[in-house]
Amino acid sequence: MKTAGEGVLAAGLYFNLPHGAWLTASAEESQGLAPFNENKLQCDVLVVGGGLAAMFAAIKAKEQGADVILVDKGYAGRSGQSPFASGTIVFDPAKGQKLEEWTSTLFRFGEYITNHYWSETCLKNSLAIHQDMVSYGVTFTARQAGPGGAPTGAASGSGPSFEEATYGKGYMPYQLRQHAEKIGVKFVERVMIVELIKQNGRVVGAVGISPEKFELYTFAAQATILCTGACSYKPVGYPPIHQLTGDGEAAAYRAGAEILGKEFIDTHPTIRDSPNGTPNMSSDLKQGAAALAGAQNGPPSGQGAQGGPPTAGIQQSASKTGAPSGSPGMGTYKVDGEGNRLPARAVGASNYGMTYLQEAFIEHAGQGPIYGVESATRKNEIVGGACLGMSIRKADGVWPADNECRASVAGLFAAGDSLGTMQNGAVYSLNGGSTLGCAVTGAIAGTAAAKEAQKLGKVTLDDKEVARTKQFVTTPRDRKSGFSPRWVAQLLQYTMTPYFVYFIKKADRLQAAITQIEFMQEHLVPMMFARDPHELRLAHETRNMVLSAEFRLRSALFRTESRGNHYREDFPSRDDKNWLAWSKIKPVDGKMTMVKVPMPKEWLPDASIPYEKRYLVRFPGEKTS
Amino acid sequence: MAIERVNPDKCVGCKQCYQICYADVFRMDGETGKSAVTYPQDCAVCCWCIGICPAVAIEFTPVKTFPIFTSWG
Repeated sequence: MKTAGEGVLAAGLYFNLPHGAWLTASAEESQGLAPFNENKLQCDVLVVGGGLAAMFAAIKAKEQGADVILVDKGYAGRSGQSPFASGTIVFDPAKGQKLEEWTSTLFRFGEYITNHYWSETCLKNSLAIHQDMVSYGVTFTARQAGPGGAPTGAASGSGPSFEEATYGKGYMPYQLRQHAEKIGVKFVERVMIVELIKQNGRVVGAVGISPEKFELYTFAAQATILCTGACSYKPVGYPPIHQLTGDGEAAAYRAGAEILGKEFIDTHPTIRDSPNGTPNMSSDLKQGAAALAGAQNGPPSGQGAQGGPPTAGIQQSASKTGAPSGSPGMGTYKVDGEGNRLPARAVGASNYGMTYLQEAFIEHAGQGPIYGVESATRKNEIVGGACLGMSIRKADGVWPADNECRASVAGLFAAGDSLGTMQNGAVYSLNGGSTLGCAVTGAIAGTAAAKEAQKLGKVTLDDKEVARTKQFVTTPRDRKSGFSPRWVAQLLQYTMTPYFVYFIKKADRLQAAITQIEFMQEHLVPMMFARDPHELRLAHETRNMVLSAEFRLRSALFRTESRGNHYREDFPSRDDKNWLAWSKIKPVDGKMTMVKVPMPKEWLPDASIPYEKRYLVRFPGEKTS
Repeated sequence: MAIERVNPDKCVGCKQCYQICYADVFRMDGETGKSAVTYPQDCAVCCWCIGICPAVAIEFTPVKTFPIFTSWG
């Protein structure tokens, strides 16, 4: 039934149109009638995703002799955040580097809830991973050494020497793809995995969709590895994050897997005037995109000023003083009315990640706007929310049930940003550590999944289970009315973006947001509908983003303290007595339940160190004694 | 308005924009073999398509237009 207003906004293609205006007679007739085309695929190991973790998982599983399919929502090697990574850490004991020196700094910056096992495992494997990358054809363009390179904030000479091997943006994941193809990994692309298939308590495959045609892809596999990256709510900045909508985590949770608590937010800011010119891209969008292309193809011909050499591809050198490097937005500071820089913050506040909670504190005190000075003549207003939906690196994802990247549900593994290893603790401080973590966990998961898969016979899918899974996948298309996924996603963004919900938290405001999200989950999400395959994908992405928001809000409410990139106005101090622990999210009888997991005693910090020396960054309102 | 169109006079049908766009903005035209902007409202203005296009065929403005926020939709 058409409603009033049909056709009125037909010319305004960039608005959210009322549903009536999209439907044409032929579309309406065929909607719900045209069957989905079916594709059935089988393998030993199914790798979901196409970034660094996925490539390493697929390569290592293949090297074990497994039959491997890699399925990516976009174009593998170009998807997610991978093309914007630019370096990896190489810890080399042969150069006299000492693991304890590195880790003691990392653990302190991570505010003592870093998972020692994962942090150390990544560093110990970093040389081998680097050598693997070289053997796969990745070329490294610079190796920077020197104190303060990472974590930022370390004064000159005060920390260990971090070495970072850098590569041109866009190049490394693409090179890994070439190698994976060469060794026989099968690629299935432009397919979004929507739901896992579970039989007898074990994940045995997945169902995916195309954004272009009504097609279903049913995968059967003895082992599935989720390498679907982190999560976002399609924020205004950091565009590569837009495709990371927490699909893997959401599917894992629906299959019964435990998820890492999501209270440690990524606080990357952006610039109001050019929100997509965020710190990890050049502030000039075209230059950044050209760097991406140039890293593979060389500068496209004829592009002139639009193309050019990949100057944005090389990460800037860390300065000797340990000041944060990078483009505007990193290491910001207040400027007074005459453009004079105001005094710097407390020692340690220039720590990567901590800096941006600092911006929220300044704004909350009514002292905004904040400017990052790019040049003598240009003042960029720094605004928050560029990474809405993301946690800091490795504080998103499936809860690791063991040291081989298994989830808490049989048949399921996760790696990269989809595995919540807490490799960085409560603050991300090690530039290059993210790439490293993705590669190492991908390699571990791929190897373990292949070994497990090879002990099992090929999967035979249960028709009833498959039918049930498919129905979950196709239902938005079968509805003929309801809510637009774009509107629901926009509502999500409006609910979650305000700093007083997301950055500066308090129980009553968190609960208010939870109430909105609960309504969305109960009423809006189930009634989303899709008019075409593209919108069907949007509907599922939106469903996953809303679930992720519930994860985030409940985790924030649960941790009744402040630590690292999690700040509670009502609990402004670190509470070592109760919260040297991780939080995890568990589905219990259909309810989202929070569980506290205390840190192993041997990993606890030295309690004899006074609070204000144990924690260098000051929070508003905290008690230091 | 962000992504505007792929100039059909310049497009060579290499599919790179179609492949690289994670927001699924493009479709390849079955008859002409060229790329066409199909979901401009989902463009995130990342400019990857512009960077990767060998033919300088993609036209855009740097302004991301957000949808009006309505009570329902």
